[in-house]
Amino acid sequence: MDTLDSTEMRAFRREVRDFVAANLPKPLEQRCRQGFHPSKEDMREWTAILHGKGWSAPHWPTRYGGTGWSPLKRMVFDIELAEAWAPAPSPFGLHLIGPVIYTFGTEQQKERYLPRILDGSEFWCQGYSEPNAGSDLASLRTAAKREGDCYRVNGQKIWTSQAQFADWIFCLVRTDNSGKKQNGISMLLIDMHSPGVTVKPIITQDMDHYVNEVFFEDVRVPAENLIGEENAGWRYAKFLLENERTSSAYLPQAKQDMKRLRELIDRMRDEHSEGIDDEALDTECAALEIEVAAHELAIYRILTDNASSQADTAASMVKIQGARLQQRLSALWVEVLGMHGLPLFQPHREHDFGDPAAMGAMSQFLIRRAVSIYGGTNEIQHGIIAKRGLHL
Amino acid sequence: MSDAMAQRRPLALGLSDDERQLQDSIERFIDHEYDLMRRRAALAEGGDDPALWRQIAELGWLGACLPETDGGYAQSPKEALILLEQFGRGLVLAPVLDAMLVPSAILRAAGQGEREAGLLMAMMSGERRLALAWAEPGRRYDLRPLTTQARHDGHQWRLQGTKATVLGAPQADTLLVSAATEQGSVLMRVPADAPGLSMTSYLTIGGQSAADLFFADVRVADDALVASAESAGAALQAGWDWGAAGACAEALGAMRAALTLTLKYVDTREQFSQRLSRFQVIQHRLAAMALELEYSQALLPLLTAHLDQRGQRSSAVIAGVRSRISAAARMVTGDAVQLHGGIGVTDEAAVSHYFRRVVALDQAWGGHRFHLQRYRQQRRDHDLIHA
Repeated sequence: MDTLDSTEMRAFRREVRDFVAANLPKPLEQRCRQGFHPSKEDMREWTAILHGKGWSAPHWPTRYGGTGWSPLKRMVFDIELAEAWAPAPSPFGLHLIGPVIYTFGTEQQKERYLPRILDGSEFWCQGYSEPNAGSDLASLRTAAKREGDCYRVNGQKIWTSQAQFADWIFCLVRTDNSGKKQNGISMLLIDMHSPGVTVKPIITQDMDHYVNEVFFEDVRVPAENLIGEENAGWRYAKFLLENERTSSAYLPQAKQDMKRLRELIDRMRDEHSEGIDDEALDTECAALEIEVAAHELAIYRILTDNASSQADTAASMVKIQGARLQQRLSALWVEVLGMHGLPLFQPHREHDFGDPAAMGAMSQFLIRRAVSIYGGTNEIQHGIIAKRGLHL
Repeated sequence: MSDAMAQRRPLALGLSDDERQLQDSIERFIDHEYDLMRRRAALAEGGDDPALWRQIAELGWLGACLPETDGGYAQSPKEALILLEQFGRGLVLAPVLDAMLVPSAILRAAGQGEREAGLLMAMMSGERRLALAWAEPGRRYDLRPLTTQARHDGHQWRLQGTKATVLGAPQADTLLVSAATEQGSVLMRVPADAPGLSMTSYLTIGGQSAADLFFADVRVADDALVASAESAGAALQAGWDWGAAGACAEALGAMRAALTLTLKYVDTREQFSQRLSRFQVIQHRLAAMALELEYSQALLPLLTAHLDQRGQRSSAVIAGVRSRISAAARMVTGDAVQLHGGIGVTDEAAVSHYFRRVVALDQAWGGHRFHLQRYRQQRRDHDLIHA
């Protein structure tokens, strides 16, 4: 069994740290340190650099370009990257559709899509939610009708992250209306550059643009872009969700946030800001340090199969706690900043006002209200624990 | 910072085969030989069950409380935590923490392991019990003695003062007493039958016996000094680290049992023509309790890694873990009472015993708020796992 404290693991940490120090471009590091979401270019550049080392998809099987590392080692890797201010790569190809393609896809699909996910040259987005299919995802209505060797797709997706620059969308579509609603769903890979696809931005409360509405109007999709079997899409969607049990728990991000918070507090103290010596702030910081440790150990228990709960229940628990941590950490961050939290910063622009360390803080705080909503709300996760874990 | 890693044992996330065997045998013992009836019988006898203490010693479990270097057979503190967790689950009324773990940790931390080898052996065999007298009236969790004073007079020490709520004192043959001297705080070993020492005994809400101690010019020999002014603070801290850690393990067992009881209850009790377990509000509350239990369990390896390590960082980590588990235990056992409804607040219901046990552990070894502040003030870095 892997241990955290083995000589091998320590050497591995050093290797990763040295690699990032030597290879992470300074502007990317700077933007990450400030708390901004990575841009498309940042993600592409960093994924290509990792790919050069063979590290862009550590969790994939070796024959598809992965590393064969244990789950614990992969988590250690992700944490090292985050703590060295490396931008998180886009998850939609590497973490979500990639594993579906190498598990259920045809040989042609594997050859066509996997290499370009690995090297970061193609971007993906996820076509799941619809205006009337949120938590109740199986109620989705975007329709795909088989016409010869094509599907004709009509409908609308919403909350689609990164659709504005994605090359492909993996989409849940309805191919049958006759039976149980979960049984009439298929998974299609759709070229975002196809005629009839329209992307409309949704601006979130932090005044930034991550999510979109995506409209499909008589979009023709080759039948060879179907994943697996028709009407079995719900199964692949569930596999996709369950494949990465701990990646939605945001542990590397929490550790990065904690580091950012400490650096901010220490710097303010060095600059003789008396306001920072506030017992209530320090108490919340101390409580969060303990909470991050509990989160980290809970995740290691899952990764080393030591969790007392069943795996899917434990995954819901760390998703809930991960979201809470994301929210509490960013709340404390803006609280520490005081007045410096107020300016409205635009990512990736030069600003001649405000505290350079603080530019992403308020934006993160505001957008992270969504962390407990997407990927299954905290309420849905409680329901999963109750039903599958406690058999209620 | 580089030596900070060496300040703890490697983190072991799961149980070894030996540890699992120990856990299984304790579980079996509780399931077959212990129940609420036996606990009630002990409560009627002032919180003591001498036959049980002998049994525990014969099974070798008190030996699991001492490391091999001191004559026991513990490979790590994990064995003792397993014992306490199971005793917490089974509501077993036995002073493993107060009569064995805390006092022996103090003797060891004070460098008395070799000199007191005979005493430690007698503790392991169940013949002798110690009690730690540290608290003084009105001074909450202040570990520095003030009103209990010791004066060196020729070849003896003379003690004067009062100690409050000394857990296990009525059954102890020897007391470890903190006292103020002109040189600073010291720890003394005082026979329970020393002339001039009197006590008022009573039962605590957690079921344990306790006493207030009164020292009226109690005289003990020179060699009664367990820890001098140089070492007493660290020794007392080592004992308290064990107290806080043991409280975590026991609370964890109590939480698990309280959740199990509640799951059973909501699946049988009906209101509004359906079982309570059908209500979403009840389901979500139980899910939240299960989450708290899982996160508490996850923190336990940090205790094993830091107990007996000496040093401020280790004490800070233990305090941090204690604050988190204490909050979880209050939430889980409190909600367990709530979901039981009226029956939950009765003495008859097992769930109320778990709640009271958890509250008693908070009172005795500090709860969430106290330990969070201790962690905050004593931490040297900001990561409990990696230094």
